[in-house]
Amino acid sequence: MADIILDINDLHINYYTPEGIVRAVRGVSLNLCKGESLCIVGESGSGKSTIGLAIIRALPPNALIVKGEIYYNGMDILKLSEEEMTRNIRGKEISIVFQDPVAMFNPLFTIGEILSDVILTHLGLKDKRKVYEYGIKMLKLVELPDPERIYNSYPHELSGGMLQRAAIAIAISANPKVLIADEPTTMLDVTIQAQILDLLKKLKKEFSLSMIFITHNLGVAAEICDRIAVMYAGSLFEEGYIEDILMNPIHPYTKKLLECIPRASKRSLKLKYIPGSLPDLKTSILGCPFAPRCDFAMDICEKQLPSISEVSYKHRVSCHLSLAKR
Amino acid sequence: MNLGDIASTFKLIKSNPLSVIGIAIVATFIVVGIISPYIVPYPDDAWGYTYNLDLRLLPPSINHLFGTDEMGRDLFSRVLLGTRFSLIIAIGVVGIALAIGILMGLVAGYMGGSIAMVLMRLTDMFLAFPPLLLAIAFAATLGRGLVNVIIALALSWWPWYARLVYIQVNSIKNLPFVDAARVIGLSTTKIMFRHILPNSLTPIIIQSALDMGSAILEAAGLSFLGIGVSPPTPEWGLLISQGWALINRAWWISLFPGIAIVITVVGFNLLADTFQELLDPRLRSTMIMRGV
Amino acid sequence: MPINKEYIAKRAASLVFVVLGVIIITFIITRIIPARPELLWTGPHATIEQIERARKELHLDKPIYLQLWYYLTDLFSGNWGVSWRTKLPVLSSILTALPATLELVIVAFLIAMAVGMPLGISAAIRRGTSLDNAIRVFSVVGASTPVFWLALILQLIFSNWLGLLPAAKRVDEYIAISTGFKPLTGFYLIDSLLQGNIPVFLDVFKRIILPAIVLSIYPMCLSTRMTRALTIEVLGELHVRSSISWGIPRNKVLYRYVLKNVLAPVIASLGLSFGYTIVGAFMVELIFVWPGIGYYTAMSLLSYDYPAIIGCVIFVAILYSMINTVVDLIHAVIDPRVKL
Repeated sequence: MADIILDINDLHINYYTPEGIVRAVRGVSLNLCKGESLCIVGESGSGKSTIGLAIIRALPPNALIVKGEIYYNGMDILKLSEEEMTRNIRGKEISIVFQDPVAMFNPLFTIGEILSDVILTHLGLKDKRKVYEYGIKMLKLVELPDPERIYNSYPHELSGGMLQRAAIAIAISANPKVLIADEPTTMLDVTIQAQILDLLKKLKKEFSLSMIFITHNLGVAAEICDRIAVMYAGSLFEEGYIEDILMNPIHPYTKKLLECIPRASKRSLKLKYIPGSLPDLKTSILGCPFAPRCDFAMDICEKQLPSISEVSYKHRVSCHLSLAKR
Repeated sequence: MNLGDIASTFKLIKSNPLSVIGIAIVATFIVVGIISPYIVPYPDDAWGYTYNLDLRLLPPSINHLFGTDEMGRDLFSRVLLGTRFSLIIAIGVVGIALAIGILMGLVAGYMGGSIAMVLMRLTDMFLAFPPLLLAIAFAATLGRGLVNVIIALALSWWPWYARLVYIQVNSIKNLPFVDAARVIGLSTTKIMFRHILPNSLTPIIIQSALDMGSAILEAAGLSFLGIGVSPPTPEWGLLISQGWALINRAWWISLFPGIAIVITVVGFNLLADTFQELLDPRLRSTMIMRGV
Repeated sequence: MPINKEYIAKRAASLVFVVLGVIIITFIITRIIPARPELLWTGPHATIEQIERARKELHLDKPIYLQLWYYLTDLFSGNWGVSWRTKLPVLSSILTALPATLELVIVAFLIAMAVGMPLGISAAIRRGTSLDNAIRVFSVVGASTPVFWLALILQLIFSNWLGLLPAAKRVDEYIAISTGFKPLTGFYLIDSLLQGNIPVFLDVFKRIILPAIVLSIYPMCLSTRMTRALTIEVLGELHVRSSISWGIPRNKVLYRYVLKNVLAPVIASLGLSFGYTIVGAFMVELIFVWPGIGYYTAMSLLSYDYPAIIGCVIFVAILYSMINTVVDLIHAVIDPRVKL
């Protein structure tokens, strides 16, 4: 059994908004093993991005981690001060790329200026020449054509795909062990999407990165992940190896998600969907959040949140139906 | 905007002390402005048509809370009545500037093309002047008087609103819902007023609140320079200028009208801040966290 | 840095248009709006002959476009009319008074920015604390205070009651003459330093500091509010979070990155702040008897000296437009996204 590098335990996160307090993450426990890539999959509002931001403590100012621990190599990084986070963890051990490639970059600075600052911070290279060369090397690593030109370009002069590659270059420039990718391909064209996914797979192999890949797209998840965690309305529904989940989905929600993937070979031309909508995250939900939309809902589903049980090797589910079947 | 929204808005405001202060000041200002002729302790003094040579230049006392001026008039009454004139000026200036500016901005924004270009060029020519300067030119040409002050200030102000509205309309008119309205067959004016205008209102509301305060400040400045209201109107700026020559002997004449201006304009500024935090969804969460 | 000859030429052309626009508007105000323009130009104590002469000089019997033509040519040839308060040509009086105003306004402006921006940034990064609230209260009150009233009160307190600072004038002639002070640039602070003349420098400094501070309050508070709001907005943007997430220390992010993002729009609005400051100078110069354009304008207003008033309006408007053009150029240097 591989080592666990990141262990998230009973995480609860709230957002404070004009309409009320949104309980975005409600008691989620996950772990990431060395060298594997874990996909957190869910609809918008499921809380998946929030978890990614929480790990690196880059949550927006109106968010609060109200309960839980996140262990990195055995140490609870939620208890670290901002200083310690910046000095020891961010960029150096755990890094991140965000969803919007354009917004990730300060419009008034060139790619090279940001890249060199990150390199300077972590690698302590004194020579400007050496910093520049290392920066170019990183840009080449992410397969950017004409890295020298890109180094001296401003963000508005580059396309989304190029910027996303540059962001990945910056994120891994200090050789972190964990990379969090928060929907990095959502805002890109499909063809570019595929390229970025390939790039990430390549980098993961080359640098033995452990990755947390956040997405709403099961297809993308299947492409890039070893394990997958399905989230809904702030709760974790199902978690397991990608083959197990695809072949043998247990949770009714997971099953529905798989049914909704459009298949070219299917005879029926109608697109499938899940009727109903997300529950209001401002209320505390009693019981399973999917109960109103679930075909298999029982009485207990509306009263009590199901506990997580392991159905097979590393395949965990939170569902009363599965509990009842045992 | 349903009842639930209004209720939560009230709660938000209550939990932010600066907002409460702002609203309180503006409300007081409006109320006093309306009823002041009826509550001034010395009505004749307030309007300025009397003089009492024995009561000249008395320092503040129980009978005369703010003292008396060089004509023996009770300063407190005059400052109190001055509220009404400031109210008239604030509403007059902002009202007229809004009316002209919104009309110009809507027409230019929606019509586009050469009409827009001409109107916007006109606006730019006005905006080339620093804020008070154009008002000075107008006021010097038109002469003293309450109405002239309002006209001078309104004429120098409408371009700001026109431009504000123009930018808003421009960014909204290409949105799908406008096309939808056009496809249904709504007339141009209806589209402009019923559909586009409400959506451009947010920055206008904030700016108007700010500008009410600025109008009072600028009118006071014009009166101080002698091209604003004519004596014996108890407008605050004019009162300050009347106390200028005597400031060494009777500091109270210039002091209290100035304090009145500061408090009133602070009220409008706080109100504008409150509007901004309420209407900008991102800032609203800061109000909530502050109250939490 | 996309500044090139094209951009400068474009801005210059735009400036010319703006100046023309200013002149046309003043033309409309001074000739078309009044029922009898010549009365405004001669003042209330003119004789019938003087009024008739004014009519001829202003070409009021000619068609409008000819009037405009004469108006333009007069302005460009330096004939801005004669002030009937001082009996001196308007333009030369303005130009003589210009350095005094520039010196005062620049000092006030420097104070406003040097105090206002750091206050705004401090308030933003310590949002919600009592420091933030104190700064907010200060900036709101300062922006609500009429500058002429503040000038009167502070002059009363510091000059008349406490006797700390002199009440009027730019420099004591006695000190100036006895130490052989010669104005070179017209900026007495600089001139006295250049000549190593410390007594004059101290004297000028004592006299400039109070009006400058009074004048600086309004733009200072404006810039504090604006800087605070901008900093808060920039701090919420993704690129700040991503820089921090990649490990760049918070201080570096703040002072190298966020500062530039905040500086760009602040500089863009400098022109407007400058506009407010210039008009504030009218009143401050009047109260402190500071011999600048503001004093000249304010005195003209008090005596209804119409030619002088309009001359000042045109001059200040042109000055304002030039400053705005310079500000635009500086803004384009800082922000590479500015379109040509």
